[in-house]
Amino acid sequence: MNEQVDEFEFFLEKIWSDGFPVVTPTEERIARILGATKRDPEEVIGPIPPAMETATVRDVAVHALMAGCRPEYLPVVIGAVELMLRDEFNVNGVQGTMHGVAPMMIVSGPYAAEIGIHGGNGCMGPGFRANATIGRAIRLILTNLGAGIPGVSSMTIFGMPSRYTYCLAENMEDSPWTSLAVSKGYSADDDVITMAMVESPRFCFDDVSNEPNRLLNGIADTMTAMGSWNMHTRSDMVVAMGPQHADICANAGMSRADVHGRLCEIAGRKVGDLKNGGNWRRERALAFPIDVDPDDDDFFIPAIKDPEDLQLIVAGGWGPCTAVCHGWSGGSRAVHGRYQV
Amino acid sequence: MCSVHDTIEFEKLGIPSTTIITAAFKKAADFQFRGNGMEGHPYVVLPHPVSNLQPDEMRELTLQFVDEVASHLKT
Repeated sequence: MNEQVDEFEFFLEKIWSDGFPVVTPTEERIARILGATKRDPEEVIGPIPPAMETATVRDVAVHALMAGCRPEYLPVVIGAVELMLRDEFNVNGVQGTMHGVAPMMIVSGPYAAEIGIHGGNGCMGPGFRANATIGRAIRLILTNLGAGIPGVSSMTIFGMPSRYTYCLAENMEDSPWTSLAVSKGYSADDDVITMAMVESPRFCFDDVSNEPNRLLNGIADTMTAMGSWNMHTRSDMVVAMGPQHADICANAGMSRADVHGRLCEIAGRKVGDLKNGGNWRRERALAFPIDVDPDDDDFFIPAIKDPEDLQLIVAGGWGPCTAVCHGWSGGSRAVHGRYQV
Repeated sequence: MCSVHDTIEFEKLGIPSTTIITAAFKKAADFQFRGNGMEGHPYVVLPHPVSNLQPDEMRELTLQFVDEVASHLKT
C-alpha cells in the first residue's frame, strides 16, 4: 500500500464491505490477534458458502481484526464459525435467501463475562465493543469468504439491522434462572455459544401485567404474526425476556422450564385466522412435523413445533419488555457447543 | 440455493442434473455456478413468484417447462 492509497477507502470500496471502515489488517496486528489462540493459523475451519472460500484460523483472525475485535475475542469468533458451518444450521441457504435472518450468537459462560460480552441494558444495540465486533466478524466472513452479498449471491429483500452484528450474552446478574446453556445440559462453567438464525427482535411491551398468565399471553401473541414463518413452517425462535418480565414469572413460582413450556403451549393461532393473511398454505401445514388438520378452522397451530426450537433467555436491562426474534423458512436448526479458549 | 449445490454435486458424479429457480434468484444461481467452475451450466428459470400459485396453476406452469428440464438432462 503506497502513500496515494487511503487505507479506509481501499476497504470501503470492496464489494464485501458492510459499509463501515475496517481496522487495516497489517501483519503486526494479525500476529497480535493470532497470539490469542493456541491453534495453528493454517488450520482449516471450513469452506464458507456459497462461494466456498476456505476459512483458516488465520482468515478468521484477519476478519475479526478488521471487525475491530480485541485479540481476546478471537476464540469466540473461531468457535462461532465452527458452529455456523454445521450442516443443520444451513448457512448456505441463508446466504441466498430472500429473508433477512442472521446468525444470532448467545454466548454463555465465564469467558463471555471476562471479555465483556454484554447482556444487560442495550445489549442488542450499539455501545459494546465485544458484542459489536464479534458479531461483525461473523458478517464480514459471510460476505467476504462466503460472498453472501446482496444482489450478487444474496437475494435478501431488505437485509436486517441484525446483519451488521448479532451477538450478546444473557443478563445472568438479574436473571432468576440458570442460563440457556445450563438448560441445554452444559455446566455454568462451560464456555458455550448458541446460534439461531433469527430476525431482528420485535418487542412485547407490557407494563400492566403483574402475574405470569397475562404477561405470557402477550409474549405469546408477539410470537405468532401471520407474516412470521414460525407460523407456517418449523422454525427456531429466540425469546429474550427482560429481567423485569422474568421476575414476574419467577416470583409466581415459575421455573425457566415452566415458562418455556407455557410459551410453547399457548403461542399459536387457529387455522381459520391464519388463512386470512400471510404465508398460509395448506400444503405447508401438512408438512409440519406435528399432526395438524388444515381443514379445521378451529385447529390450533403452535408457533413452536418442537420445544427444542425455542431459545429462551433473560437479557436486557430493567424494564417492562421482552424481545421476540422470529425464525426462517428454509430449514435451519439452532446449534450450540463449547468453544476453545 | 442449496439446489444449485445439489446440481453441482450430481454433475461431479456424472449424473446429469439441472436446477429450477424463479427469476428473482437468477443472479444467485449464476454466481454459484460460476464460483464452482460451472459457468454456463443450463438451468431453468420460472417467472417469479410461484409460491402464491394454486396447485392447478403450478401444474400448468410446470407443463410449459418440462421439455426444457428434460433437454438439460440428456447426456
